[in-house]
Amino acid sequence: MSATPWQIGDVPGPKQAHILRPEVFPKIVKTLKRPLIVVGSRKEVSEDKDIANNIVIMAKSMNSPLVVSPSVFKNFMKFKDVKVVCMGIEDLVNHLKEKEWKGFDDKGNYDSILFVGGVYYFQSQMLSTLKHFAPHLKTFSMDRFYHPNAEFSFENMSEVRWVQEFRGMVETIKSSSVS
Amino acid sequence: MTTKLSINELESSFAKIKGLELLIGKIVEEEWDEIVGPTPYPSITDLRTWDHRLLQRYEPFYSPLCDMCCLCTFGKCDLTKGKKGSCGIDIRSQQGKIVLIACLMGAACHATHARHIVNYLIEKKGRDYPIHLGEEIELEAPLIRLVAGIKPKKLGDLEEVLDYIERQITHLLSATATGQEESYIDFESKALHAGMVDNVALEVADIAQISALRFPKGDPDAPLVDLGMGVIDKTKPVILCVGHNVAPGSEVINYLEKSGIYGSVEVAGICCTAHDLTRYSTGAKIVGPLSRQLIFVRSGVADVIILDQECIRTDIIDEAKKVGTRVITTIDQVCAGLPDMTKSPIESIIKELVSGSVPAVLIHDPAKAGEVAVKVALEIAPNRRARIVSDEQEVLDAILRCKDCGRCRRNCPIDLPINEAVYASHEKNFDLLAEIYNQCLLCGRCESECPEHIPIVSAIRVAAMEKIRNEKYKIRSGRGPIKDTEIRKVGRPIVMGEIPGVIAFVGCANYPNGNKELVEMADEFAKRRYIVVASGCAAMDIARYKDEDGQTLYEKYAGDFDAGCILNTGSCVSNAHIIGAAVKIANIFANRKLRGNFEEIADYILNRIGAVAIAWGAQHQKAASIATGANRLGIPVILGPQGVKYRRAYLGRADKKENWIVYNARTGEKVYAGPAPEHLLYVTESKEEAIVTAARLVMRPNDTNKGRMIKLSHYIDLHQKLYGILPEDLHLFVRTEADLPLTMKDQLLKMLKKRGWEPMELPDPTLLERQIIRRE
Ligand code: SF4
Ligand code: SF4
Ligand code: SF4
Repeated sequence: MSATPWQIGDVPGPKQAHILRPEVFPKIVKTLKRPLIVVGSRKEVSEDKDIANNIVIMAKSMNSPLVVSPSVFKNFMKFKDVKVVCMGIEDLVNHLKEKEWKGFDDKGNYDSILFVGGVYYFQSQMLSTLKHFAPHLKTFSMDRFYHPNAEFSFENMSEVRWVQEFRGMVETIKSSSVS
Repeated sequence: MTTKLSINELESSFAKIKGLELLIGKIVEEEWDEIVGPTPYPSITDLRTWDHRLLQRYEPFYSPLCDMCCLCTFGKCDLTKGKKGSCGIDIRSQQGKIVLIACLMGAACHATHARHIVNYLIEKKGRDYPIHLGEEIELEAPLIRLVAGIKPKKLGDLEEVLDYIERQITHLLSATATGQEESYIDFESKALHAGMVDNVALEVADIAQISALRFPKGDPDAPLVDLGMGVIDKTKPVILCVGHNVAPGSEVINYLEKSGIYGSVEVAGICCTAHDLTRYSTGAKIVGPLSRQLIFVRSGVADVIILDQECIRTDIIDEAKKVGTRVITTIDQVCAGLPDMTKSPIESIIKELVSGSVPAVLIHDPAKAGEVAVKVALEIAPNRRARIVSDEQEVLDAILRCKDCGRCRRNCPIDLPINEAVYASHEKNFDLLAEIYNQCLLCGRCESECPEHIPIVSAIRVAAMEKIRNEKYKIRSGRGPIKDTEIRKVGRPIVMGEIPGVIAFVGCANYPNGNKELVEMADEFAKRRYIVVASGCAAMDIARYKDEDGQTLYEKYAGDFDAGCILNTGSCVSNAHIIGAAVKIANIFANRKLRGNFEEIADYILNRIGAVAIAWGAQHQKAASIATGANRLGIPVILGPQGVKYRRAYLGRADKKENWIVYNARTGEKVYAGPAPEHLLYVTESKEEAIVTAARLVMRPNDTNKGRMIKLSHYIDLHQKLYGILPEDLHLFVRTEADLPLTMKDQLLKMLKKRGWEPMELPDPTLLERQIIRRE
C-alpha cells in the first residue's frame, strides 16, 4: 500500500510510514507496553470537546499519559484520572530520543508514541527526529493526514471521516480494555 | 589570517615610533590602548573549545527534512536506519553539514552586501571618510572590536575586516565538501563560526551606511514613516525597490532631489531595502515585508522595479512583465539573464525600456540605475492605466473552475484551507478568501499546484481589495545602534535582572498564522516593561496592526532602549546593534575588555544578560546565520513552528543537573546554577509557547534575588494565563526563598517543598576557568 504525504512535497526518502487502518489499530494498541499519547497545538482537535474527550478515553484505556502542547493544555487540565503533562513538543522529543530517559513516572522511556493534533509540518519534523534518532521507539500518527515520517500513519482522509473513524477506534480500544 | 606586529615604542637613529601596528600589506594607525585579547581575528579553530563547551550543554537536535544525501555523484545515499553514505557520513553529520551550508549562505549574503555597500561608499566619499555614529556613541563597533580586535575609524578600515570575513567563509565552505569535516559537533562549531562572521558583516554594512548616508544615529525619536500597501499614491509615478542594498534606491532619491522633483514620484520599498530607504529619507515609503512582493507587483502599481540583492522572488521579472512594469537589476548577485547595459548611454537604455523592446536590464552602477529608473517611471506612468488591464473579471471567471480538489491546500507551506476559500466564492462568498489574506504568506505555491490554473493569489487580492486599500500604518524608521548613554542607564538593571529582559523580534515573515500574533507578543512584553527591540521584516509586521485607538505599537510605545519601549533598529543588517547591545553592556557597564576577547564576553552574556530573540517567521538562510552567531555569544533564540525546517535546534536538558554546573568565579568552586538559559535555539509550536519560553529563557545564573523575583513573577503569571497552570519546573529556577514573588510566597513554598526543593548558592557564574578570581 502506498499513500502520498498530506503536504505534497513532504517526501522524505525511501522509508515512509506504513498505512495504519483505524479498524486495525486497536489490535496493535494491545501489543504496546508503554505508550505515550502526544497532543499537538491544532485547536480544531483540542477545542472540539468530543475529540478531546475521546483522546482522554483512549489514554485511560491504554494506561498512557498524555503530553499536551502548552497552548491547548487548558482543554485537558480538567481531566483528573489520567496523567496530563504540559510540555513543549520539541522538548519532549528531545527527551524521548534518549533511550535511557526515565519517563514521567521514573519507570523508563516509552515504547510507542502516538501523535494527534499537531501542526502538520511541525509534527512531520518531530516524527523525522524520532525516525532517525530514536530506533527504540515506534511512532504512530493518528491524524487525518498521512505522515510519511511516522512508522505507522493513518492515510489522508476528510475531517468528517476522520472524526467518525477516530470515535469508532476509541470505542473499540475502550471496550477491549474493559473486556 | 592577518599577522599583526605591534610596536608599542621604538626609538632608533632614523625613527621614533609609538603605538604602531603592522598588518600584512597594510599599516594601521593605532590609537586604541586596550590590550589585545586572546583571539583577534579568530581562525576556524580558535574558539572551538568555547563552542564545544556550549554544545555539550546545548546538544544539537536534528530534524532532517530529507533522508537522502545527493551532494556528490556517489549519491543519492539513503541515510535512514543508521546507514552511512558512500563517503562514510551518517545522518547526524550530514545534517550538521547542511546547517553549516545554510549558515554560510546567510553569512555570504551579508558579507557581499557589506562589501558592495562599503565599496560604493568608498567610491563616493573616500577611504578616509570617518566612521561616526553620533555624539552619544563612542563604542561604534562592538562586534568588530570584539572579533577583529580593531577599532575602525574610517570606511577604509572596514576593508580589512571584510577580507577576514571572506577568508573565513571560504575556509568554512571548503569544510563542507565531500571528504572534509566529519564530526557533527565540529560542523556545528563551524556553523557557530559562520554565524559570528555573519554578525560582524552585519555591523560592517550598517555602520558604514549610517556613517556615510544620512541615517538616524541611534535616535530613539527617529521619525514615524508610512508603511502598508495602501500608502502608495497611485496618481504619481511609482518606483519600487526590492531587496537589501540601499545604494540604488538612495540614488533614485538623490536624482529626484537634484532634479527638484522629489515628492512628485513615489519611492517605495519591499523588504529591508525599504527600511533603509526610510532611514535615508522620510519621504520614502515601506510597502511591507517580503511576503507582499508577489501581490504588490501583480497589482501593476509600480512603474519601475529596482532589484538589488537577497529575498527577491525569482519569478519577479516575469510577473513584472505581465503588468508592463520595467525592471532594473543592479547587483551582480542577481543578473537574472538580463542584458548588461551598464556601459550603454543613458538615453538608449531609457529608450529601450520605455518602448518595452527591452523590458528589463542589468545596470551595475547605482547612480545610473537611479537616474534611468526616474526617467523611465516619469515617461511610462501616465500610460499605467492603459498598461494594466484589470484582471478582476478574469480572476472571478477563473475561480469558477475550482473543483475543490484540495491540492492547493496540500501544497501550502502552512496548510491554510485555501481550497475551501476559493470554492466558497462560487456562491459569491468572498469572506473566506478575504479572511485568509490575514494569514496568507502570499507565496503562490497553491496556485502553482492548481490543476485548473486558478491565479489564487490574485483571487485573494481581489477579495481583500478593501483591506489592502486601508493598509496605512506608521512605523518608527530604523534608529540603528543603541546609545552608550542608554546602555549606562539600563546596564545594571538588565544584569541584575531588574529589567526582566530584552526581547528582540527578528527575522522574516514566514508566520504560521499571520502577523497579528507577532504584534500580540511584542505588546505583551512591552506592557510588562521588558525592553522590546525589532528589526527586519518582523519590525515591519509589528507595525501592520492598529489597536482600537487606531495606533500601531510604534505610536503607542516610545523608541528608547529602555523598559516598556519598542524600538526598531532597522533592516536585517541592523541586527548587529541588537547583538552589539549585549556586548556593549559587558563593556560599558561591566568594564569587560572587548578587544579580541570573544570567549569572555560570550561567557558574560550567557551568564548575565537576559536577552532573547524571537524569530517568529524565520525563513531565510540569513536568519539561520544571524541566530547562530547570536547563539555563539550566549543569546538564546526562539523560532516559530516553520523554523523547524532549519532542521537543527540547540537544546538543553533541565533534568541533567551535571549540565548546569558553573564555576563560582569568587571561589573557583563548581556549583549548580540551574538551567538558565535552558535552550539556545528552540522551536515553539504556538505563540503561547513562544511567550512563556521567552519569559523562561531570560533567566540567568547571575540574577540577583530581586531580579529573579521579577523574572519569576512574569514567568509564573504568563504560564498561568496562557497554559492555565503554575509552572511545573519552578523548583529549577528558585535559588533561595528570596527569589519568590512575595504575593505567592507561601503557596509556592509549599509546592517547592513537595518537590524536594533545597536552596542553592548564588554564584558569580562563569564557564571559563581562567575567569576564576581566587581559589579556595
Ligand atoms: S556526499 Fe556522501 S552521503 Fe552525500 S551523496 Fe556523496 S557519498 Fe553520498
Ligand atoms: S487546487 Fe485549484 S481546483 Fe483544486 S481546490 Fe485549489 S483552487 Fe480549487
Ligand atoms: S499563497 Fe497563501 S494560501 Fe497559497 S500556498 Fe502560499 S500561504 Fe498558502
